[in-house]
Amino acid sequence: MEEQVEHFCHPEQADQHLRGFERLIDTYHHFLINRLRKRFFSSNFDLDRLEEFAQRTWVKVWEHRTSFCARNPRNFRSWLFTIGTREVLQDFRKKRPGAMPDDFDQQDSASIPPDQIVMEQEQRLSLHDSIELSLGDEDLRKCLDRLKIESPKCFDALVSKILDDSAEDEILTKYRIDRPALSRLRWKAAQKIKDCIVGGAS
Amino acid sequence: MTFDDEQLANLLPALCLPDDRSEWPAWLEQQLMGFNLPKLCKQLVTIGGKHPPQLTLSELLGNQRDPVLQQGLRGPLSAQQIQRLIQNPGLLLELQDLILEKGGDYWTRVRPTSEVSKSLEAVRGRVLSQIRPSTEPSSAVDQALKPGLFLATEGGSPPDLRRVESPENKTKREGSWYWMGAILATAAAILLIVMNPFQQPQDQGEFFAAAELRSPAETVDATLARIADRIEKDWKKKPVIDNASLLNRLITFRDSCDYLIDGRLDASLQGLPDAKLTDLKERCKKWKGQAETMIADLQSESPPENLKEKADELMGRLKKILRNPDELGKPKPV
Repeated sequence: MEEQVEHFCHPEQADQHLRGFERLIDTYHHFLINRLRKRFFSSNFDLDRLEEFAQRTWVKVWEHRTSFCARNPRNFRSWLFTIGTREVLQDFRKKRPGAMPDDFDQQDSASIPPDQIVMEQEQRLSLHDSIELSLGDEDLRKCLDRLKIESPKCFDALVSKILDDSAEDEILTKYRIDRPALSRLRWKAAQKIKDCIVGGAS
Repeated sequence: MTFDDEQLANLLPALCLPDDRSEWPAWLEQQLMGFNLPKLCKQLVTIGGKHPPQLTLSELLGNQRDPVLQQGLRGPLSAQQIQRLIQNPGLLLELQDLILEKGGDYWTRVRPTSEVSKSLEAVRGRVLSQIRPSTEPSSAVDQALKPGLFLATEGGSPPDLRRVESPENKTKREGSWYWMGAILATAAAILLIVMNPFQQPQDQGEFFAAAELRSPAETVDATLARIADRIEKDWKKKPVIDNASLLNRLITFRDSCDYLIDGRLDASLQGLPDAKLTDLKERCKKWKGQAETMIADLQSESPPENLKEKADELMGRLKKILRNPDELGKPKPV
């Protein structure tokens, strides 16, 4: 990673700055998107909006490259995250509709220091994501319930996949099938779930 | 409605968990670096995963925390540990946090999901169009310093100097200074085109540098074939009618070789054995060198006549290798 930052800050030829910059985008784009989502958006995030923030962040990185490189940079990633965070907060402070999750927009942000905003938002999202996670995926649950009734063999095969080896062995014994047959059952189960989701779970 | 694999992976990632457990670590690494992890975790909980997790991430990783951060999941974690991650999806989200903060080089090289690749292409393109106007003059000046032939821009059109701006920036810039700057910049660009003996367009995104090559195809052989197709297409897409246009093509090709040589296509070529990848890069250095020689010949006072044939031959050789990857990594005949 240091090598890439070196390419960006001190390219062998002056016109290679841009190439070094492209490499940094290629390397860190998904880090940035995931980081911003985790900090500011719930799991039902809008990728378009995140990409908008990422774009602005990268443009800022390019604009401020001279000062960053002059500081003998060590940690590009944390600098990138800081700029990204600032971009989102700036948007939030402008109270642009929809820039932040709805409940967040209601606050009087002017009096709250940025660190506290980030911390509170992270706590809120952590709780939100945890609740979301425990609720699971409603449509998938309905389709699984249907599969369990219509094709219990497929259902067992599918569910045993994420359980431990012994669950898989139990299925093999219970239905007297071999592993290739188990794979086929799982494939069939996946097709049925797919059809169910596309056809409307309810 | 029919589904392809990509749509299925986006809609129902949990159903894409490989059947073969030995493939789980690599698959999980991709998910950890992808954008679909929250959805995957929710679906794993729905299928039978535990939430809240039955153990903490520290308990699961034990003394393998640092190795995971540096080397990924494959080596450091046992099959049982991987299985526990799947069974306790909340831990995957925690692990993603940890990797985003402290993950080493390894995690920057994990093969991206198609969704990540698409997003990367979109954002990179938008960022580069936004900043490119400020970078073009300097590279034009660099080019102007080189001696050589007079070249018209390919297709006879001047480089595109339009600025792609956000509406806010546009408003800020509207005003006399902006217009004066724009007029001066245009005048400078025209001067450079007229006076610069070596002007050529910033022909980015061609040959090895084509944006589409930075996301993998279904198999590594398919990726290599795609590179070959792309090179063939780019080589033929603009007619080489004289030495000037040949020079232009060769320079674009030569510069694009760096994409392969310095590893920017490694993610797309994951799955190609190390020896073959090294061989491919070595060959690419040679192709680049041969292009370099032809460029020098073209810039000489009396360029040889058969350079176009030589260049065609070079393209033919490299396409042949890319379409026959079995040849890679083999000892060369003496």
